[in-house]
Amino acid sequence: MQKESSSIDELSAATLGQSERVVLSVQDLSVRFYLQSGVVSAVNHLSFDVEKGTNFGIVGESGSGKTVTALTIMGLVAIPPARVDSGRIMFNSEDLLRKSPNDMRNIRGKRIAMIYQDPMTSLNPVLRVGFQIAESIMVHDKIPRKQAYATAIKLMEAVGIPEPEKRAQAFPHQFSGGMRQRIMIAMALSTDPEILIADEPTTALDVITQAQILSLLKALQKQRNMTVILITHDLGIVAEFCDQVLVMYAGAGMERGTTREIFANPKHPYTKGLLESITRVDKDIKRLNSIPGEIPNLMRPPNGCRFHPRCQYVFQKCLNEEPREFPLPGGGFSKCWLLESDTR
Amino acid sequence: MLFTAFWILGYHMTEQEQLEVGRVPSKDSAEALVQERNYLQEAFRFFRDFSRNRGALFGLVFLLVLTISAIFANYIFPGNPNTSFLVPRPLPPTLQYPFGTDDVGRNLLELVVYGARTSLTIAFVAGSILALLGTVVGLVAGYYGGLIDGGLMRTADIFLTLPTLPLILLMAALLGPSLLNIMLIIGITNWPFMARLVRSNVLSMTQREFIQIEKVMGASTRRIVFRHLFPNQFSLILVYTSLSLPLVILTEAAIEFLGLAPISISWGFLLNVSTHYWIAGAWWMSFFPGVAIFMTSLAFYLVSEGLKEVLTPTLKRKRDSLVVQLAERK
Amino acid sequence: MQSTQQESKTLLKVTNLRKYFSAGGDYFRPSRRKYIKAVDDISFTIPEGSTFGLVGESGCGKTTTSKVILGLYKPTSGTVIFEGSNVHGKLATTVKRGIHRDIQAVFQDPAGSLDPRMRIGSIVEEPLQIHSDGIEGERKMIALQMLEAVGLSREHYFRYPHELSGGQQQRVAIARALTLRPKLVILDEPVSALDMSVRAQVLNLLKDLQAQFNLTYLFVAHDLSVVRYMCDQVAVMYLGKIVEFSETKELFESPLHPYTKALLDAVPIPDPVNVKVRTPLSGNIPSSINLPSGCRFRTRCPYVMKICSEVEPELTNEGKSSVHPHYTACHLYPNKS
Repeated sequence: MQKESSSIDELSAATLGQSERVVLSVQDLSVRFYLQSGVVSAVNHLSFDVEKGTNFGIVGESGSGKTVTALTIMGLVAIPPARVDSGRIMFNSEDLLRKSPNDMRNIRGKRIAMIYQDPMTSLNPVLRVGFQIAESIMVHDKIPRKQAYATAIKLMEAVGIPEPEKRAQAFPHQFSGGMRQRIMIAMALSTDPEILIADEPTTALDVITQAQILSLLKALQKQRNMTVILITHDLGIVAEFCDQVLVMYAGAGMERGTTREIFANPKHPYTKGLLESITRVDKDIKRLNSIPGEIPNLMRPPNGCRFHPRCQYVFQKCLNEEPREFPLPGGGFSKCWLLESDTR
Repeated sequence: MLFTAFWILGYHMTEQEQLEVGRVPSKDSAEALVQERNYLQEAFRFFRDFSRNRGALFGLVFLLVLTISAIFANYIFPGNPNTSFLVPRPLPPTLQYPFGTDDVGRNLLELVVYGARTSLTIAFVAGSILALLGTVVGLVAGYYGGLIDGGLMRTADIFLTLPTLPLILLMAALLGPSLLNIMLIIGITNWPFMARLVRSNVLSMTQREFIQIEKVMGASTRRIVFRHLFPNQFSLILVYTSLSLPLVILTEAAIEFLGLAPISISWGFLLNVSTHYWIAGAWWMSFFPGVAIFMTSLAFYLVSEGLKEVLTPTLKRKRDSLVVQLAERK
Repeated sequence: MQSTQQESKTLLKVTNLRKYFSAGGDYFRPSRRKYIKAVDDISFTIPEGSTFGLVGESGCGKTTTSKVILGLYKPTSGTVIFEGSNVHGKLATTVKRGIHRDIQAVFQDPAGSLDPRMRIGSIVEEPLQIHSDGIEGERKMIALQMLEAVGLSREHYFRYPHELSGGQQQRVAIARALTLRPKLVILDEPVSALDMSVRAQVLNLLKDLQAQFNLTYLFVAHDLSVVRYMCDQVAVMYLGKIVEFSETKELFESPLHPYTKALLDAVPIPDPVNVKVRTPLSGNIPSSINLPSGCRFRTRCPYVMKICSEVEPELTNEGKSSVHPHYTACHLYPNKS
């Protein structure tokens, strides 16, 4: 079933821009949690490429596997009870899954950094923030304390914290949510990483703060020519921020493509359903089209296509066989049998 | 009565299990749906789940055996224990006297079993006083808050800061040594811990939205406290009480050991007496009562752990990651 | 402030409502006491059968307002009048009971609003029990009906909350709220905790139920797009005050207050073709204890003028008429109503 994935990767790499280097390539990744009560199939044969310098969005609801994917890339998934059952994660032509814990420690936080959703709990409440940022620098590079501290202050300035010298002495609880998230970003950027993974960075923030943080991330990305992988459930953020999108559902990648293509011409029924069911600030909607049903239980996922119980286009094949990833003309793919007749 | 027990414990069979048991609510028949739960079946299921934990089962069996022997000690050892002299000095364990004898030649095994009566009674009564007082105070303080809360908690703090043993000595001296007094004393010195636990649990519950909705719906205070707040505490109360029973037994033993309350036979008393014979090498006189105390405490602890496991499946749930939580949803 | 439309009956009237929470300071010197002014003089009316939206970021006072209306908090000053009776006044027991029947609520956290120890069936029946409606068998019938009305099946009657998904739990909360056939339902962020694909289901369900049971909704949310879909009228709150109020379409298409504009501007739109170039508002929300003088929004307002720090702006009707009012409190708009 997934034998074609490597050729698809080449194909999409070719069509999406040969000159762009693919900085991260996830190939046929499967992660399962082996629990007493059963096996949770959190990520199921997932493949996607991220090009250098782009904003790559991963969209999904709870249970889609987006966070587990990010944690697997970072090597932060607890190996028992989890297990990576298949796949490779190629980072600059090295497989991250085959790396030793020591090597991963050098990569994690240094070359691939991550920021999390909850700024309240991500910082150590008893340490001053200046120190925390400096610490993240010192952990990775042997730099004298004073220098690390000075860099920390510069970073705080870069992320838009006013009066950084003074504020560096403060504790996390003395900052607002938006400010704390900026501090997280400063920590993440301290080692000038190639990739920044942002897992729902603005979900816990107010909408105005969210806009501030997103525009900060955009600016920083441009400055440093960084690759950003943004994980979110908000389609608005994806539309405004990301160049390319991967839509995940119940552990599998359902559709992938450029942002414009996905919004203008969604091929997968799930993507279509989502786009039709979201509320809009910019237009009046008479009646939303909702997707019926519920997100499936990952211990007993549906047979065949995981979305089939909720799909309005379902037919016999969907119930029995999990679809392949069918390449789309603009690059990208859609994991749906509807496309079988189209691909030639 | 089983109904109350189950309702309070919140133990239930899920739909799945109900189906298995054969009591299927057929979807068409409304009468079938409004059937009452079969509590006997649930009792069996409760026991079965509880028994999965071997330790808990062992503890339960041990306690049952102990209690039954204590109650029926008269039949196992006919005659007054005080009159079965043999030789007026301690004898090591033999086949006839498995625990040896005490200083006046009484069968130590018999004494330990009789002693169980006292110790277990004290444990249960003091434990109940402790639970009752702690729960009531915790509920009231947690629900009403404000000055009432402040006042009650400061009182609790006073009890907490008083050093227990001197307090016990004082009260024993003032009130006179009697079984009832001992039980009261132990209960009174230990209730603040329970009160705090219950209160903090109640506080966090009152903030939860379902309590607020109860108020919106017009539920009376009585209803909220008894039918919503209290049942959600019951597992906590049960578990904490079982956990504090070992402490109660040991406190009682200490009181007896110190010679504050020479009540007939109890383990503490036996330990007290045994101290005079260490030099003589009569190790069995302290060993066996000591083992009895230890085993009983252990048994209580194991049972409480087992109860905790069975009664609070939701506790485990919260600790699991989101992935697991999602997966376990139906 | 008058409501719109024809002679529809006013179901709820909030007048000059204030709710302050004490925040330390010097207890014995009243002038030195500090307060969190969660709700600071708001007034609005909700006509029967409509959906009234209360929008704002966290800390603006919208949830506090809903709790005062529900009777969970007593107002520091001002009144809440429901169908002519003062919700917080000295009322006859029957009137009080009536209010408990007629005003219900659905809150944000689906699992938190259900007693984890109770079966779903009992949860939905409980309001009937509290008000001693009907007998055992009848109550169960009604509960089953309500479960079906919210799209759950009869087999859910025996389940426990933790066995249901978030969307299903929220449906149970809705079923419970409607058991007594209330008139007014306060919905406080009812879909914020739900997944996207489930949100539309629940929102549509709420709309259908409103028509079916002739309900009036007070919809409190921070998500403007949801408010646009659900509400007939919207009031925007900032730091305890209403800064703008009008009919939904008008508010979203022609916002007047700089804060409303900033809010609408900041919402990312799922349309990659028309991406706005934004300049998001700077700064943070000031603390509710030390409020800025004059207009509360002036510390962040791009149009700030001298008068903004001196005089607090009043709500004035800048709309076309009193039938279709559009109130806003801003010195940029000089009309007096």
